[in-house]
Amino acid sequence: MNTLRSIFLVAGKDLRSEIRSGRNIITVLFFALVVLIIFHFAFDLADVDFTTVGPGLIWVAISFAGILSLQSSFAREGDRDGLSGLLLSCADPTAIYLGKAFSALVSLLVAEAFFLPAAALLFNTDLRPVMVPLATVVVIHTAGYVAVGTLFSAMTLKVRRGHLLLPVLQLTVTIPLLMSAVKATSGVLVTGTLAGAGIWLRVGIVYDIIFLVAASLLFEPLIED
Amino acid sequence: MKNFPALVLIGIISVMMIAVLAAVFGDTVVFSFSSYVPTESSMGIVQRIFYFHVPSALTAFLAFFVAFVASIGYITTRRLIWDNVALASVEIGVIFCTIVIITGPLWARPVWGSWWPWDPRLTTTLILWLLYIVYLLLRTYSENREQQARFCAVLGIIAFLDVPIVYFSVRWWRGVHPMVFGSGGGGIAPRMSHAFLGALFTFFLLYGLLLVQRARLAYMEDEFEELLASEHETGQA
Repeated sequence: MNTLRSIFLVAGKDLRSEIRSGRNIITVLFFALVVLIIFHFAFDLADVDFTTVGPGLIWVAISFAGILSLQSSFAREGDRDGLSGLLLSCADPTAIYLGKAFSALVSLLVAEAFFLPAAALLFNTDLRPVMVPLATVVVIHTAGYVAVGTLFSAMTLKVRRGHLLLPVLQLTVTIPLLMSAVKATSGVLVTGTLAGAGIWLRVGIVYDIIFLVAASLLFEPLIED
Repeated sequence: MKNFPALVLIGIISVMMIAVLAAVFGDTVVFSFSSYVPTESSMGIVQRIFYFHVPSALTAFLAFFVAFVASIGYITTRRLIWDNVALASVEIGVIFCTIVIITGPLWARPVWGSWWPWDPRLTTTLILWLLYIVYLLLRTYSENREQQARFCAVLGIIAFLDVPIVYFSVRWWRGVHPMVFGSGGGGIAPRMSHAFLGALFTFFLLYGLLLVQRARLAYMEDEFEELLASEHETGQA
């Protein structure tokens, strides 16, 4: 299928460049860790139970650090107008969006795969028993974050000083996703099973579907000019 | 008198607004005759903010829904008039949202004992307000008129899709809002509902008037810009 091929070509191109430099993932990872350390000293969390503050901490760190990842997603096309090149390649714009979103998702997930164990270590907690349910929650909520973020990334690339606007757009629209992520993570940490996430898992999935569909449809009108 | 219908509408809305105010606040310091609505037994006089708080909220939701429809209209037809309507509707919606956010705490303080109890509907309205402030912010960033309309239409759709998710998330997170209508609601006295419906109708009319006026102004601004541009071109030639 042609569209599927385009998606993987776009995603493959971004991921190859990411693997070669690793700059994006490393920047995101270290920014997330810095946020964690700042929180630790802002609220003196040394003796606090991780299940109460941990979910909020890690999702705030991921939300903030994820902005950097989104900024670079389309910014890498910005320097020499690579986006026009992509559009000239006759690939379906929806496929370009999906490819971009997929590569952004993979890089953010890789950063999280290093970040979560580091966070567990810093807060003296063991996440290994809840690894599978936690990973499920993380993947579902990161997907929604990236689905809407990739659209905003393309939008803010096109406007002057758009990098100022991206965090405001992204963090405002993902408020319900953050709430869902925190509640789901906290449910998983307390009960140790995926069932503990309860309704929030569904909130995350519904958010993913709504914004993936909406962004796929809106990407074409967004980038044409 | 080119704008005669608007003037008539302003007159009607003014009369209705005074009638609603008199019905609600007749026996308080504002006027001094007996008011049409009864005083709520447990909350007392402060309950009467409800006649303005709830219609403002419903008007704001209506405004954002209209902006959503107009955004879809722009994306599908690319006619700037849709963007004029969306802009007008968002601006008015933000104003009504602001009224909700101000009147909510005024009521919550004496009744619930705190200014901001993180009640689901009030919090949803606050997030809604933020979303559409960002929408207005995005307008100021765009480089050309056509791009501005396109980007804002995209955000107008995304923001509106976010609303139900925000509402249910905030509600499931923690909930204490009084349910006046619908299942589990206490219902209200007939005179209360007359005053409420009167206020609601007046607010909707006011919204309609403001929408038409603001969209027309935006339309004229576009026409003016176009004229300037063509003037500039002939000047060059």
